Amino acid sequence: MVDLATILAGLGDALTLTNILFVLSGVVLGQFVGAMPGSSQEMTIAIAIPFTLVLTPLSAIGFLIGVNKGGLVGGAIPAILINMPGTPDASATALDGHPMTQKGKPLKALKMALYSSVTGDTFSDLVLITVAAPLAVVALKMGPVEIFALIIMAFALISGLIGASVTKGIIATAFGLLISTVGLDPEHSTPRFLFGFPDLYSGFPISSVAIGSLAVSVIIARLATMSGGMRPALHIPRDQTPDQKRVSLAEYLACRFVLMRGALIGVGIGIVPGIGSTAAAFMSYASTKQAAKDPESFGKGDIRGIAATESANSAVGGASLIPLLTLGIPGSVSAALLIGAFLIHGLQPGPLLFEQQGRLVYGLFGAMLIANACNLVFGLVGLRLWARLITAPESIVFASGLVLCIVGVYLSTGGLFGVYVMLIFAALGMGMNALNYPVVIFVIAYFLGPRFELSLGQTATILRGDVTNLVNHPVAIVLLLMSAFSVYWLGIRPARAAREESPKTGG
Amino acid sequence: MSFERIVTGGILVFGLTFLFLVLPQQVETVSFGRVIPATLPTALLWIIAGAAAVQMVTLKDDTAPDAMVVIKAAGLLALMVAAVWSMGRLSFEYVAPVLALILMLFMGERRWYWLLLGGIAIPLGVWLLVERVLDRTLA
Repeated sequence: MVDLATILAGLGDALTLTNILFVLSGVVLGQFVGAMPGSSQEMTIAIAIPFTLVLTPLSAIGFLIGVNKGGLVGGAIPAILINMPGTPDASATALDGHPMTQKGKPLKALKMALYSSVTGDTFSDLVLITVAAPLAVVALKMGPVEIFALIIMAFALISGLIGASVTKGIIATAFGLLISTVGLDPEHSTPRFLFGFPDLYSGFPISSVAIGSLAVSVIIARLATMSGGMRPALHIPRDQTPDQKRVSLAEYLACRFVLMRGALIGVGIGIVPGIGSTAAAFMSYASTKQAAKDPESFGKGDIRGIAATESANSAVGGASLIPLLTLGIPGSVSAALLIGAFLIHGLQPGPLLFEQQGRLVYGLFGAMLIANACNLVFGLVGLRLWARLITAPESIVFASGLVLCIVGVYLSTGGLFGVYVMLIFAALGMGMNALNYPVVIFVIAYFLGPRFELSLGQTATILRGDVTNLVNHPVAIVLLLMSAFSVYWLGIRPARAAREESPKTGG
Repeated sequence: MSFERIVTGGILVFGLTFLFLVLPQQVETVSFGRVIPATLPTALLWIIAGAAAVQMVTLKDDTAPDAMVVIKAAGLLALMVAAVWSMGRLSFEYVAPVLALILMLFMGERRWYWLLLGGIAIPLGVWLLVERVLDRTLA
């Protein structure tokens, strides 16, 4: 268990001026990117990771955490103002946020979204801080067989992302794992699938795969579908009454149960890898509407709708780091990218991280709380600025984004080979998106691949090749049974429901 | 035959080709250990081929991407490849502004101040940051 001195030292590290500035920069960048419809904080994290190479691990991770948190706040701005969610998480916010704008209360809606987001996020971070360390202690008692079962369970849980086609989900997962086998194999160190390229000895670079399939593919697809028209300017009227632009304490407190329900839903969903903040936002919205005495007011500009969605989608962030920090299992794309950042900075997420890098982990927790404060302060100051930036031309954002992708991958891989690999994965990502193959599953499988193969080898050795020896590992059996149940509950059942639904809706 | 069925057929062919032709040449044979280098790739290729075969049979919907979008996306990718190739021969500070300008013009941007900012100032700013401030070389 981490001692108090380490905890205090870690929190002290987070409070240095340099770290605060990097966290603040991350939040500002995240809010800006979140406010731009069509871009996402995941894309920004992917692009930003190589630029953090020159930073200390805490500044780098703090900056990326800031981007992630800022993106969640920024995503609500276009959803509320122009009914175009900046991030998928904010889609539910548009349901009541945009009607409030139409009623002449855009600033009130934006402020409620900000307060709700920071409330949910802070609650989630506090859960992470209190739960992660004890969980890591439990995780440390697990052997290779249990870890292998846990990775199987991670795959089972991410089956919730497979969408309407189970076979496409299986192909994407298997392909992500297959890509991860390129390079030296973990047990015998013999080369595989090099095709004469010595650069592939250490496998495909993480940054090339992540940036190519998650960022470049999305930007190019967006460019290819653009009509060429520029968005109209949007003005927030200055002559508004205080009631139209403020959220009073009474209004905030009136939403306390809604906020708490949203935060709890967000945390619950965040802990389970693979479900994601968009689901949390819609679930919270639906349950708030169901519990309300006047459900007919939802969808027409009810401030509780914003509180419900924003508290829930922001609460997913901190909780999604629980499986990442304690078990080394990414529960979302952002978490998968953060694992990449950890690895680039020489850190191995998992239970040992608390033991070996306890000070850094608590520094990270401190940075998360600082990011929440920055989100609140800069969010209040920058609301009008971001509202104007929504109308900044996408041409600048996307052209610069592509240049930054090239530079970022070049810097992290040390040559143009990595950039060519990035372009190959960009083409793959576009193809997968176009044909509804889940790219997120592909990327998470790629990240988990090396660990999966290593623990597979260790498990086979420990069990001496006999599956019946699993009876000596009851925890692993329980995890495998839970995996089978998760595949059915999260993957097969919703996919079947979606297939049955599609003929009815004509889709 | 629908577009998606053709793609699925391609995945099936990919799986089988790698399984029987590529894997034996690209993965060394090792005679010891419970999980040899070929174990996981072999299993995964069987899974890919098997899932693709099932999909070939069960596929109901057809997702055919818009041909114009595909052509534009392919063109943009080719432009990126050409830019990266040029960066290896010329250098970043000459190629990046041209790439950014072409992309902005492609998107319909005609306002000179935005073109100046996105096409010249930002790429050169990145170059200055990396080469002069961070002291790292760019292509």
